[in-house]
Amino acid sequence: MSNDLFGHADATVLGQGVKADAVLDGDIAFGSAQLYYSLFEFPVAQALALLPPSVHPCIPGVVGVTFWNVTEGPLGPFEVALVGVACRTGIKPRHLIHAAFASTPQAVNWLRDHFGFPARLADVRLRESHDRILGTVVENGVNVLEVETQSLLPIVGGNSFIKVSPPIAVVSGTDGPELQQFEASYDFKRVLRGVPRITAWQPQALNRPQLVPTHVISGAHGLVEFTVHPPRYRMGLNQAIETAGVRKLEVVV
Amino acid sequence: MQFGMFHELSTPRPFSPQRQRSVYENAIEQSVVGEQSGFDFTWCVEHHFLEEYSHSSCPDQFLMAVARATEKMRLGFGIATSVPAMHSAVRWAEKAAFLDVMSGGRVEFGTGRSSTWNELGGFGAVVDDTKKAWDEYVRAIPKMWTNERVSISGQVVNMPERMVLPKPWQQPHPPMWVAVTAPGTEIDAAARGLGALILSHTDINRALPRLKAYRERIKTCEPVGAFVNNKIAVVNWLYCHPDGDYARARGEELLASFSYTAAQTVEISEGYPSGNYSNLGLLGSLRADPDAPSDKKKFANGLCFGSPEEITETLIGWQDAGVDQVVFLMQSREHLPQADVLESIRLFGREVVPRLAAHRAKVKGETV
Repeated sequence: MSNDLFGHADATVLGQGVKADAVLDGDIAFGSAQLYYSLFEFPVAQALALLPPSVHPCIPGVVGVTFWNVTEGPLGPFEVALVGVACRTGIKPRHLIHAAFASTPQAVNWLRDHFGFPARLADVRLRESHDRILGTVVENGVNVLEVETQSLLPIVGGNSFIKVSPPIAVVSGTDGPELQQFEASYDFKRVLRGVPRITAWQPQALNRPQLVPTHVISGAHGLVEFTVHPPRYRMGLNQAIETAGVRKLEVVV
Repeated sequence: MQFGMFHELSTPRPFSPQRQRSVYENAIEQSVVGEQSGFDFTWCVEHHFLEEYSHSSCPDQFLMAVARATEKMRLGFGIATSVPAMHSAVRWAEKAAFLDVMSGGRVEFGTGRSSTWNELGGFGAVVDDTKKAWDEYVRAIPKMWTNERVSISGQVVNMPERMVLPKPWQQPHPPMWVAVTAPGTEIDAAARGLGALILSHTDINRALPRLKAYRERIKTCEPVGAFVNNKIAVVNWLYCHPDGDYARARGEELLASFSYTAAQTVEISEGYPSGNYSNLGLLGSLRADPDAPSDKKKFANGLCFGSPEEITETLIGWQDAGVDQVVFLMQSREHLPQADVLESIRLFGREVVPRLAAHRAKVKGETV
């Protein structure tokens, strides 16, 4: 299967990763939170240029923009924005995070130290108004990311959930950069879905000039009970994960 | 029990017109050899934009080629995608009837609605309406076949009075089926009197409740066509070889190849929350999780990779479960040499088909 598709981004693109050595001693329940998960298409060739050789692309190329609005829990209120490229580790859907922002220094450090997200401090806001869901990131006075969804429809019954692809991030390992998986549980209380619209997108500020969405897929908003779990897996960047396997991390409970 | 073959027309990279044609020609040859070896059905999928996984965008054209190369082989749309952005209901009625006439009455009309963003998003289809559209299609198409002239006033299918031509060869019309992937669709099939083409490569015990539910519900169905097609076909895999271990090793490779190509698609339920798609479709459901030890070397007990004796035992299990037809995938990205696929088909015909016939006769107390 030598013609299988893999990413071809190397360390010059992906960097050496964030040192994420802090231990998370058990699950963290954040209580009620908002989740805004919007997906867009972009060219497969550009996705391949942003993924390492250990993962397969998703076809079509997909970029995911995720906002959290968290009001409870040990970090106090905070908001987060993540920008990731959809990929397949082994053959399961994941999003490789290329940019991350958080609204408080505590949240920035928490995302970096435990999960390796390349988080920066910014004014991150996720708001639900009478007619739309709006997520914004303002960094140093510049509106670098803004996504909104109007005319949302409620998704009811047994299908009232959002299938969130787990994020993975490049972290600094002892032998070089690795991928680490972020895991969380979302207990959905309400889900809305509509057609998202990007009203601000600064590729340079999002760390990847070539990452430019071209077509919309969906924008979904959930009211959730949000629980974050300790990281369990790290994976290499250069060999296919389905053959090289994953490295299990010690989980402190 | 009858046997079918299921052609995805999976095509390996690097793509070229020559390689594409080779995939098509090999699949036709498999159908020809299959007919000589006791296979009754050739099913051909319809997929769009699914790189490597399936380059079968025009199943009616493939089936026409098989029709001209065979004499008795039934020709199954597996499936005709009943989504307005892709095809109108009239066009499906025309194409199926045309093939039915040209083949002397061999069409089996499978229907479905697609489950990937690749396809539905690529055509700009209204994802939330696919089930509603499919429901109108399966009710409208048999009317187009059986009524001299027809006018239809639906939300999706809406046409003034016209004579849809040609009319099918089979009377009153070809048997109709629906692809069953998500749990519950077997009930949708049964309620409408449609055959269930079950597209989940599961083990026998897990399939049993769905088979039983289908048989129970269809007793009180309101058929959308002129007759009830009370049939269950289960899609499976086949590689038959004298050495069972060798066959299973090749089978694992086929499954790995299939899973790889299926994995890259974007299932609707992954990216587009909808009341219309709660479960993963076939492609997503086949993904093994490399992180989960229990998923490693997952090999359902109903799969037909093995020696003729082993495959016979497996098929007896399916037969006892009440399945009318087992439909086999036999290739992925041309991973197996064509000669090996053909020999597998011939070996199946020589050694498995007679064994099953003998078993059936024994159960019925007949003499072969």
